Formats: sequence, structure tokens, C-alpha cells
Amino acid sequence: MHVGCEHGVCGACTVLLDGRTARSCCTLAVQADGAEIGTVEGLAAGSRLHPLQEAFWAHHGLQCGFCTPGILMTVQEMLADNPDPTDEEIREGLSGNICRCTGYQFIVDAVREAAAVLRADRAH
Amino acid sequence: MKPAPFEYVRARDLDHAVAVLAEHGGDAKVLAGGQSLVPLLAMRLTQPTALVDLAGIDGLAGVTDDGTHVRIGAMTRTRTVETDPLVAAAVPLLPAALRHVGHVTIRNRGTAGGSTAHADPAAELPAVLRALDAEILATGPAGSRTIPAAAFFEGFLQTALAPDEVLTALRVPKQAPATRVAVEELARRHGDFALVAVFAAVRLDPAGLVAEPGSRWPGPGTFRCGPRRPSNCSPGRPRGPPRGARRPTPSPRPPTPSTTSTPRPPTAPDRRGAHPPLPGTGRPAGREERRRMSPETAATTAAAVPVASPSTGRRSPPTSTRAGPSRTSCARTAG
Ligand SMILES: Cc1cc2nc3c(=O)[nH]c(=O)nc-3n(C[C@H](O)[C@H](O)[C@H](O)COP(=O)(O)OP(=O)(O)OC[C@H]3O[C@@H](n4cnc5c(N)ncnc54)[C@H](O)[C@@H]3O)c2cc1C
Ligand code: FES
Ligand code: FES
Repeated sequence: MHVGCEHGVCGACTVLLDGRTARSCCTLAVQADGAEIGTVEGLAAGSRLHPLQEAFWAHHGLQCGFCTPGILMTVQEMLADNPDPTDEEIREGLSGNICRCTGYQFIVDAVREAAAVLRADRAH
Repeated sequence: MKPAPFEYVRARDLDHAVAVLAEHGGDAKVLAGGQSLVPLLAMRLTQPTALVDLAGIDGLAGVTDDGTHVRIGAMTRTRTVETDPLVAAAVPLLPAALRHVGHVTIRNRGTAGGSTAHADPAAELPAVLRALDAEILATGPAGSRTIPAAAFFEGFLQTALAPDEVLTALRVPKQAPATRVAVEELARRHGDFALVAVFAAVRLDPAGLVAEPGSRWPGPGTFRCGPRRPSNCSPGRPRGPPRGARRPTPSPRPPTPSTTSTPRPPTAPDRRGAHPPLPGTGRPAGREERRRMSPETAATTAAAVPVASPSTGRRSPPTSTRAGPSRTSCARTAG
């Protein structure tokens, strides 16, 4: 988890709070009292990367990686709400997360592939 | 960025919250979702002596059918209102407008009461409440009262709430059946506060003719909004082009009406890249939004666009969590 702008705009600090994404920089610790918190560290199962992480790796969906933890949390929620998003919906879903490196196209490619893998996993 | 020291109180119930607010004599603040307040605290733009957190109070969250109205508890998350089936059926303007509020992550935490009490002039919810003549319920030391939206929003970040009052719920009148709505915003990126917003509602009769094109263009407070009936949208006229017909070609630039003088604000997005475009597209989001509209709403709204114009060149005051040129929200309803 990373902290960027500290006022809710960049999305780098996005975590899961009771299963839904939240900006940790806009949430006081005391507001999370008793809640379940999820971060990017919880995505992989031991040494096995999550399909999202695999797809970001395969498609160069990250360069410096600063935005990546927040983007992965955001995308996880996006795909849970909408398992088969269009490219336009992927871009809209990513609009709250700023990436200064990739130009977004590789992120969109990675999300598209991760969505297909997750749909196939679910079908089995 | 660290807030100045403050006392944190998790209110047990409404009486407790009101008592703590009254005790601090206007120096305490209610904490709801924190999506506006926490950044303001971090930047020390506000330095309350105490925060009164409403999250532990039972009964402040939820959407209920209230006969002619839909009642939305103050602590109902924006995302919950946006995705609630009762709201979608009874007040379609609400979900259409709320999906423009920030991003899903912001809407997961921000609350209906918080957005209303914060009264940002560019915020979607206050504009809808004004447009639909909603009521705002508040409780203070002297008891509870109901405030019509027209009297509630007093200006930039200013409302009729007393410092020791808690906003408890919104009562939003149901829209007439067969009301079609459209919301269009021009923003630098999807989820940014709108530079220009137009809300439209049209009621169709069973034959698909326009029964009621709406009559008001309210906005919360200080900017130019006015009623205008689009020329292709008077009663008895067919709704715009039939479904499947070719849509008007979207203009590559934000629409600049010929009837009003609306120069682009000096800080308007430079689409060659000075400001971040919608990720990966290089296009401002307004065009994306236009593409998503159905042909009939596109026709109505396109006609309505000249009504709203950005007040030129005014910058966001420093208390806003976002930087950028000033913004306008308008709504039109069938009521
Ligand atoms: C990146 C980002 C983008 C955003 N984009 C938009 C946007 O496009 N459109 C938009 O409308 N908003 C936007 N917002 C603001 C967001 O909608 C906030 O959630 C909302 O303005 C405040 O709601 P809250 O529940 O978080 O309130 P808080 O931040 O907790 O409180 C806001 C203010 O209201 C007062 N308050 C809250 N609840 C009550 C109550 N029940 N009674 C009395 N006073 C109360 C607080 O004391 C405080 O002064 C954005 C925010 C961020 C961080
Ligand atoms: S650090 Fe930028 S959104 Fe939280
Ligand atoms: S990879 Fe560097 S900011 Fe996104």
C-alpha cells in the first residue's frame, strides 16, 4: 500500500475495508475499528500470484509500481461488480487511480486478460 | 499532512451527538464518510476541536419507501443509494446523477447526508435535491425539523443547518412514472467534479409523446441556472429520434452554445495533454458520457445544453478538495 496525494485524488492508497474499496488517506484509523482490511499483500496465495498480478506482469501493467497496489485493489472490486467489462468501462473504473508511468493502455490490456481468466476460473 | 489535534467522539445515539456538538459551541464537526472532511482536516483547512462520528448510531442508514417520497438515511453510502432498486425505480434522476460523484471508491464511503451537509456547489446530490424539491430532516437541541431543499442550500459550502444540528435523512419526492432522465457532465476526467452539468427529465405519455418536459433548472446556490424548455421538447411532440436512429454526431469539442456566450474557462482542459485525459483515451470524459445516452435522451439533452454555462474563469476556492475552474450543476425534472 502506498501513499501519494493524501487527499483522495490519486488512488495509490486504496485498500479494501469490509470488502469494498476505500481511500485509506481519507479514512481515520478509528473509523476502521473492528473492520476487516485487505491490501495488495493479501492477493497472492503464498508464492502463487493472483490472476490479476499475473496479468499485470505479463502485460507490463506496471513500471515503477507505485500506483499498482491501489490499482489492483480497485480492479479487484471492478471485476467483482462487473466480470466482463468493456474497455470503456475498464477505463472509467480506473479513472480514480493515477499512473504516471504506463500511459494506462497496458493496464487496460492486463485487466481485460485478468477478467477473462477469472471468468474462466469461475466457470470451472 | 497531519490534522491539528482534535477530540474524537463516537456518538452512541442522536441525542449524544447533538449534546456533544452543543457542548463544543460550534467548534465540533460531524464525521460521516470523511471523504470531504478528512482531506480538509489533513490540509488544516478546518480545525475542529472535536469530531462526532455518526457511524455507530443505529437507524441512520438505509433507503425506505415513504409513500410519495423515498427516505434516505443520512449515513446511507452514496454507492448504496446509487445501486438501490427502489431509488432506481422511484427517483431515476438520483442514480443517473450519483454515478458521476467521484469514483466507486469515494462513493463506497461518502454518505448522502455528508454530501448534502457539505453543500459543494458542484456536487451532484444537492443539485438533485434542489431540482426535485426534496426535504432535509435535521435534529438539534430544540428537536427535529424539516427544511425544504430550496431553503437548505444557502451558498458555497453553506446550509441552513445550525452547528449543533445533525442531518438525519433526506425525503426525495418520487418522480412520475415514465419519466426519462439524462445527466450529462463535462469534466476533465471521469469522476472529477463537473465543469458543466446538465440534468434533464422528460415524462412521456403512453404514445411516446412528450407529456411534461420539466420546468425548472435549479442549482444549489450561487451560479447561473435557469429554466429553459428545449425547442424540440414541448408537450405533445414526439420524443427525439426513435431508438436505433442515427444519433446527432457528437461534437469533438465541449458544446459551445450559440445562444449564450460561454467562453471556455482559462483553465479548461488542454486536450493535447497538459491535463490528464480519461486514462488511455486522450479524450475528455464528456464525450464518453454522451455516447452512453439513449437516442431520445440525447436529443432532449443536446437541446438543453445551452442552458448551463460555466461561470467564466472563477477558480475553485481553496477549501475545495479539488483544484480547477468553477463548475455548474443544473437539473431539470418532470415534477
Ligand atoms: C477524489 C474525490 C472526488 C470527489 N468527487 C466528487 C464529485 O464529483 N461530486 C460530489 O458531489 N462529491 C465528490 N466528492 C466528495 C464526496 O462526495 C464526499 O463523500 C461528500 O462530499 C461528503 O460526504 P461524506 O459522507 O464523506 O462527509 P464528510 O466528509 O464526513 O463530511 C462533510 C461535511 O459535512 C458535515 N456532515 C456530514 N454528515 C453530516 C450530518 N449527518 N449532519 C450534519 N453535518 C454533516 C461534516 O461535518 C463536514 O463538514 C469527491 C471526493 C473525493 C475525495
Ligand atoms: S494517497 Fe492519493 S488517494 Fe490516498
Ligand atoms: S507504474 Fe509508475 S505510477 Fe503507475
